[in-house]
Amino acid sequence: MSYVALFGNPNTGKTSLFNCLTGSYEYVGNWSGVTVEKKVGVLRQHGVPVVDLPGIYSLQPLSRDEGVATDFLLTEPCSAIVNIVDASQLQRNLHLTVQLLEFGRPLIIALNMVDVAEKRGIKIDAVKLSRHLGVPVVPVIARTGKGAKELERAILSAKDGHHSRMFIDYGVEVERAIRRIAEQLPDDVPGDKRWMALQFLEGNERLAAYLRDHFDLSPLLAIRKETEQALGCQAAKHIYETRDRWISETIAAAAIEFKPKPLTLTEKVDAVVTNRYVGLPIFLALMYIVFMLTFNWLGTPLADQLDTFFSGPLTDWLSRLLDWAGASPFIEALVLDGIVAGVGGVLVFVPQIFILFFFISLLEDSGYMARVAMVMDRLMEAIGLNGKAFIPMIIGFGCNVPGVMAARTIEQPKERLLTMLLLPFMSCSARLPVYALFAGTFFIHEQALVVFSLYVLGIVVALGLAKLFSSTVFKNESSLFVIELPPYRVPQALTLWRSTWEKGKGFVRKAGTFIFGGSVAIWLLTYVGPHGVGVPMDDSLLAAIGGLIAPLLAPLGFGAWQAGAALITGFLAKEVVVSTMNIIYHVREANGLEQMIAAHFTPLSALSFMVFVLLYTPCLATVATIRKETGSWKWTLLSIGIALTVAYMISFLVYQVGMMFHFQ
Amino acid sequence: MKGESVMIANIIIGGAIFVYAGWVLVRHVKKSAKGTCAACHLADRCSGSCGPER
Amino acid sequence: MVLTDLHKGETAVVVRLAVEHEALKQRLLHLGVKEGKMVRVKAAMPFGGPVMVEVDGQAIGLRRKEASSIEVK
Ligand SMILES: Nc1nc2c(ncn2[C@@H]2O[C@H](COP(=O)(O)OP(=O)(O)O)[C@@H](O)[C@H]2O)c(=O)[nH]1
Ligand SMILES: [Mg+2]
Repeated sequence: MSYVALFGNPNTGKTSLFNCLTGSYEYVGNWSGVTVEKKVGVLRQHGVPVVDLPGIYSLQPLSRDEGVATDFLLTEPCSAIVNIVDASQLQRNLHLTVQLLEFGRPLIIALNMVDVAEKRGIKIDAVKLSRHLGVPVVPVIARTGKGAKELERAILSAKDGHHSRMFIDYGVEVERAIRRIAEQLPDDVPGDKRWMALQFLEGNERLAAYLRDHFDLSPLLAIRKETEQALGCQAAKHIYETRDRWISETIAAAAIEFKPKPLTLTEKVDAVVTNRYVGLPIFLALMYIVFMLTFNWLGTPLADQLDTFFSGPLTDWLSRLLDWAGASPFIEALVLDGIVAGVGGVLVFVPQIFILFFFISLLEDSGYMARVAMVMDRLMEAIGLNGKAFIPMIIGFGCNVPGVMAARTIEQPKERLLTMLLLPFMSCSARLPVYALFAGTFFIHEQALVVFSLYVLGIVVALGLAKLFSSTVFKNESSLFVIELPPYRVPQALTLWRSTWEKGKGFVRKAGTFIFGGSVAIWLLTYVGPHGVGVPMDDSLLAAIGGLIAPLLAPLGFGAWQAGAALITGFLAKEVVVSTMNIIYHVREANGLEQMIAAHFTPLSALSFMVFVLLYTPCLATVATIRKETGSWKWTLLSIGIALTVAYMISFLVYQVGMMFHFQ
Repeated sequence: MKGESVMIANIIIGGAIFVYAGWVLVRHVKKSAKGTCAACHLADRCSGSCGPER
Repeated sequence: MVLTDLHKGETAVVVRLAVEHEALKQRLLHLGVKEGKMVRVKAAMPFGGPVMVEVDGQAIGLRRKEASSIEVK
């Protein structure tokens, strides 16, 4: 299968364009490093497979996500390349374009962000640019889909056709080196031999590693060395400068009207949010407002209404339906005490989850995300990480799995590894129902504050451990930080809704599938005992299982089998902690659950329990992702080990210190 | 007659619930073990962290 | 003079990129920070945190240590 591949600098609208072309809803955000994995779709109506790739500045990758794009060129066949070029940043975008032209496949340029460029007083003559580069240039606005049809036509007609005759003369020394290297290359290398030789001379490590698998590189290295001696500088520098001059000429020929105007919106907002003194306080204040909205002002009232509906009208209606169908008591208990309790208990928190996701989407789409990374960098540097690690952490608040994957954009291997290992301490949305349930029962008035503190505790623990590790295990590794700060964009209502929905619908779907299944299984475990069926819950299998670890948990304040059972099932997915609690403590009446829980927990032990759930172990999916991304079981198991130990220690402290001060 | 059809209804409802529950459970565990999280926006398309292993 | 000597809002021309870290230097080049380019300091984070500079209408955040190895005039 031969792909049409989308290449371009980060944050130029590749994914937006991919979504237009294929009708998908991939993840779009206004910062560099949103897409960290290749995504495959199909060109509508034509059945042509299209791939979206992470953004790159050049074909020499500095980080894992960039490596994905280079590897694609080296290992996968492509019938055409669509190069998305940001019209407002032509100079640096064309550096990649040149490299892609040299690769020697049919290429189409999608000139994106023409609206932004125009606002800045830059107008580009697509026809002239096309003539200069020898490839079709199609102006588009990926955000609104303008020009997508024309682009599609251009792709279909260029596909599998000729490639550009564009040629840059790099001067005698380099040209000689190119010829000598090309002679040595086998015939079956991907891409043009000239391209390959140039990339090698530029010091593309990924390509060198690829070639090394096929043959001995020492003659090529010798050629590079000779050339560099003749040039009197690094070949990479020489090639870069030659290209840069060529690009300037191209732009001079094709771009009309340059009258740079400052981006007033961005300037004004930045003057406040990246202010020396108020930058960090503003970030914290915004977070606090988000929590108040999620838990106090908006989310909780909505959740309460849902809860009343589930435990009132829905239960009545279902039980009447079951009666009418003549269901046996067994089925009735299964449905009402198992499924309604388990699934409903999680579904009632949908309002809170959606509100939180809405704000995460807002953060992602506005351009503030990269600023947060910069504002946080000083703190992160002090603990041996860099500001960019904060982005995966924020994504981790939604779900830890994409958070772990987002760590790919971090250049230094050590910082990336640390970020992945500590990411599970970020409180993902699946843990939110647990807080909402317990804080809603025991800390009615301080709910937002308690939950906010839990989120902060997760961050503090992660940062503390990062400090510990970077001053012991990972000593003496240099740290690196450079980040592109995109202009702010006013988020579009539709995009915002879509990305909120895309995130939130997973939660709803999960309730209908896995949590449904889990609830049935858990209810069955409460129904069946080692000595028969229909036993009292305390003699059930679930009690036996939970009882195994209950003594261990007693010093933390929740030594009952119920808590143990809930925590074990929570490893599969953290929402299930709440489902299990609901099924165990289920009484068929409104507010029954909260009374039951209040009878089994004290505010202190509830707090200790929430702390434990926050920290105790990454869920199965996160564990698998850490395993894949680190490529090592050792680090994965370490991550789980650290989590369990830290959770135990902190919950122990919370409970024992609380007891000492007679705080109940 | 009445008793029998009620029995059958019970078996069908119960059976459907258990079969569905078992199926989604197995599927979830299989998918999670590959690194896909059902509650995340990548859920539909993501086949886990499918990047090149190095 | 180096980049960190500039005050907020000041503009200067890059004369030399003496950044040690090779990968970082490549990244800066690709972001458009190179000899002969006008740069403007937009903000500086407190406690020796990163500086925010603007090149070609593109804002970039980088650490003070690296910024101080960029010579300007
Ligand atoms: N004004 C404007 N914004 C755009 C355009 N295309 C994309 N964007 C925005 O640019 C940001 C980056 O888009 P994305 O598709 O994630 O870029 P990628 O990183 O290249 O995949 C998002 O906030 C988009 O809404 C465009 O043509 N005009
Ligand atoms: Mg993208």
